[in-house]
Amino acid sequence: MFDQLTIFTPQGQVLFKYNCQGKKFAELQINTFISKIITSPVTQRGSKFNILNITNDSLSKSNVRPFCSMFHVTKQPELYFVITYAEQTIDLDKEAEKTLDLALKLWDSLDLNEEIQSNLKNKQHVDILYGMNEDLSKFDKYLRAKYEESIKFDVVNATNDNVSREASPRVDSLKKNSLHAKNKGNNGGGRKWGRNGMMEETTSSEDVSQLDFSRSSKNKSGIASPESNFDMEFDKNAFGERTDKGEFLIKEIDDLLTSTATANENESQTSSTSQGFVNSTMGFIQRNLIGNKTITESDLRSVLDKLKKKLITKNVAPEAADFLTEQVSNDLLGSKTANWTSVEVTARASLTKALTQILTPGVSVDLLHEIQKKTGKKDNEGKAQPYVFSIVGVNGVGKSTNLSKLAFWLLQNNFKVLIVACDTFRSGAVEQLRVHVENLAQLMDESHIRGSKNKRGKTGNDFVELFESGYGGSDLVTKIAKQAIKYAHDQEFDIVLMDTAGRRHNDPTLMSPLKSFAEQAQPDKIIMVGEALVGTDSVQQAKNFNDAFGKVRNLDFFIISKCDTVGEMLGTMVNMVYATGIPILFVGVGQTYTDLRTLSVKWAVNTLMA
Amino acid sequence: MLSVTVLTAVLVVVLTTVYFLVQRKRVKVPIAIGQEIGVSNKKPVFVLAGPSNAGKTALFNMLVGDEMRNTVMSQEVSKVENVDDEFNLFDFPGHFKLRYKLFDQLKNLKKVSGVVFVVDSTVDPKELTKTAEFLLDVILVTESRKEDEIDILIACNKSELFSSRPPLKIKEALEREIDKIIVRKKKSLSDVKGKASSNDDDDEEMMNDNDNGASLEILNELGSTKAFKFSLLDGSVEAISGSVSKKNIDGWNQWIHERLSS
Ligand SMILES: Nc1nc2c(ncn2[C@@H]2O[C@H](COP(=O)(O)OP(=O)(O)OP(=O)(O)O)[C@@H](O)[C@H]2O)c(=O)[nH]1
Ligand SMILES: Nc1nc2c(ncn2[C@@H]2O[C@H](COP(=O)(O)OP(=O)(O)OP(=O)(O)O)[C@@H](O)[C@H]2O)c(=O)[nH]1
Ligand SMILES: [Mg+2]
Ligand SMILES: [Mg+2]
Repeated sequence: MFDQLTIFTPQGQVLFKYNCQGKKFAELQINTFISKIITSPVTQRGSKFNILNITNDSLSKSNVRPFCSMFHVTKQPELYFVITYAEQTIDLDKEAEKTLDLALKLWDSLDLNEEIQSNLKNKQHVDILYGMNEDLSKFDKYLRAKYEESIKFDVVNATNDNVSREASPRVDSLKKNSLHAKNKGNNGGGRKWGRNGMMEETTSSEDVSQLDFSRSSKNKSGIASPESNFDMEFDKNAFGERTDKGEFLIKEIDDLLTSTATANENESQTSSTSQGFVNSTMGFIQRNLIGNKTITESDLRSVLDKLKKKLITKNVAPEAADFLTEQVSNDLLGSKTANWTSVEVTARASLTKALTQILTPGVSVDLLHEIQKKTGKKDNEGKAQPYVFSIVGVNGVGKSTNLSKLAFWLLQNNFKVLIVACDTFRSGAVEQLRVHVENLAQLMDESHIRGSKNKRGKTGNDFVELFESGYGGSDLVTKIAKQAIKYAHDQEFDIVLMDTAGRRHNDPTLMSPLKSFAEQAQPDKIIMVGEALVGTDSVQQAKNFNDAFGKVRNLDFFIISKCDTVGEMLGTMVNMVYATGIPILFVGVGQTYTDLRTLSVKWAVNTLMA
Repeated sequence: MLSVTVLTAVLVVVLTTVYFLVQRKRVKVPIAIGQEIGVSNKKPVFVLAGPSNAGKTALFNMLVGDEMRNTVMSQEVSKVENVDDEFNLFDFPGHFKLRYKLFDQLKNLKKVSGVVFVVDSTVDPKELTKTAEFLLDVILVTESRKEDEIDILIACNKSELFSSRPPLKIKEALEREIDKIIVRKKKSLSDVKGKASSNDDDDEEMMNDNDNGASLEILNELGSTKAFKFSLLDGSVEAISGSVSKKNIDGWNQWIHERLSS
């Protein structure tokens, strides 16, 4: 059984809710779903509908169990049909799919969309559900009846197939299913289960599940076929001993569903034949000139193609460009252009919106505040834990340089910074970092003499210091990281910045140590540096780095370096956010310490659209 | 048959010319994406803003339909014209990623008489930082609109819950937090400046650049005095408690109605 079916508008009005388990409507679950859709809109495609898994890592703070959801978004009006269920299993997926399918067909058959549309158009009646109570309760009644009658049954049946193959693991879920079915049978007013059936494949076994199952399966013998697909026109005789009322209801629903199906067919036939020369000329004029035109797929095709090409010339990866233009098409299909506005202008505006939305971070990150919060918590010795950043990325993208820029900004905000050489791999990496520390020390204190040691005998001065331990393998890296954090705590540094070795994202032997590194060092922020120059490969880079930390940890944000070198070709930004849903916080715009900027989404979008 | 074709051909040529003429001026044309956003009358506009889950959409339903409905997180703005034949009402999503919709509109909407900033008055004081951040961003936009003074109502919702805090406390806490945020904002790294597109003669862009400049100026102004106080602003800021679920929204209604005549 699934958890709930909810139908709601993007404005947040719930039109319909059905908690299958008979519990209170769990709004928090739906909000978690919506939040996830907003922050990472790229979803997995199921066999028929979109599937979105809400796992633990996206639930960090809320007290919602992980769950799975299957959903469909209709246009005109835009409505979300969402089914949530405990986890992704073959059975539950199938049940969700059938229920969603049924809900959509019923919704359509009852003409609920027409009513909503006319309510939306009517400026006086602001209530989009105006006058719909009756049809909505019909929808509710039909959906429940049909669900109980066929879908749920199908699932019980399907479960049996599994059980006969692998008996024990499914006892629990099966029990619940059949128990529920039984209860309904006993007290449900509308119908009674048949008693006369025999299961073909009944196995005589003491197994509780089998026992339970046969009880419930007896109820509806006749139509038990191994692959009983959900069919709108199933055999009505199969429901032998149901009461008249129940049978009548199901018949009513089926008639409704079949009649709309045929009507729709007819409609599509007539509309396709009425395309004429005059029509298409009129279309051209409206499309390009007068505006106020309902946008169709053919209007959009060439425009979207053009926009997509444009995005690709700006270094946006084809798959990300596809995603964006699809957003535009979703946004515009069936809507009307404004007066005196062409489809192209409308599409550009919509793309601007899509780009803005993808590049805007999903949560606010106030680094200074977070650092202050952590370093303000003193232990009984009066010392605080340092705030730890670690910086990862492919070779040569600018990790060490941008780490130093970050250090410079933090130093200017009066934090004491420990820079840690966790790149124990590439020769010269430690020396390179030492140069940066010397430079930063000098910037903080003009009297600092290069090469001199501070009072602890280390490179740097009171403000900034280098923590180094030579070269070695990945064991050494974790060891250094842990030592550095302890050292920073003891010596009262506020910030620890860990530079790591550059690594190819498609080399598992180099990527796998990242997981244990993150587990051991527990950095507050893991930053990936990506260079603007890279282009299409950035999608995969970002994905692989984001996945490298396992199921419970993600990257926290990106720094996109070398933005000064690419002109308008800022596509890498889009690619990396598209691939992961992780925000860009800073951009590097040059080789000096002050060349680090906060990302301005407006700037990036304008540049990409220019 | 032939004449029809010729006629249409001529028509197409003429219209194409006109089309290109129109295209050149296209920047001036207001663009409606999906749901159109402007209002079609001259009545004052009130905007519901505030963090997610504060109860904006619930309040919207109450103001418009006088009833408490089931709501979930909003992704799009809702608009109703002529509420009680007196004003227009907008409800914006509170999710961080969608706030740009509010800021874009707040810059451009005509006749905005007030922003109702809805907050959940049971929110943990520690979480108030984010709320304050949002409120400051709203203030930076409303204050940058030089032509009009936009008042802000901090609508402290869910006051029927026993863990709710009094509106004055909430207002003071927000004031303190905003003060700290201003200090931090001045220390944060500056934005990238649009150099890639600055030679473009796009009207819209010029305007946006000015806007950013304006809010920066305000930030400096606000930060130059000793501590931030709501009283420094052009528009007034008031905090009133209420509860949508208990239909107790009189205080807010009154606030709105006080601003209808002006
Ligand atoms: N123009 C420009 N150059 C940059 C920027 N960031 C880094 N660089 C240059 O890129 C080169 C590589 O930078 P590093 O910081 O050494 O790169 P890395 O990722 O640490 O390299 P490995 O440690 O070898 O993986 C240097 O020459 C930097 O000056 C930037 O924002 N703009
Ligand atoms: N206890 C209580 N709950 C309320 C009250 N007003 C609204 N709520 C609940 O608060 C939750 C959020 O309400 P919404 O109106 O959807 O929140 P919102 O501010 O529109 O949120 P976003 O659309 O995400 O920005 C819902 O569960 C409401 O039922 C109230 O006065 N008291
Ligand atoms: Mg390096
Ligand atoms: Mg809402």
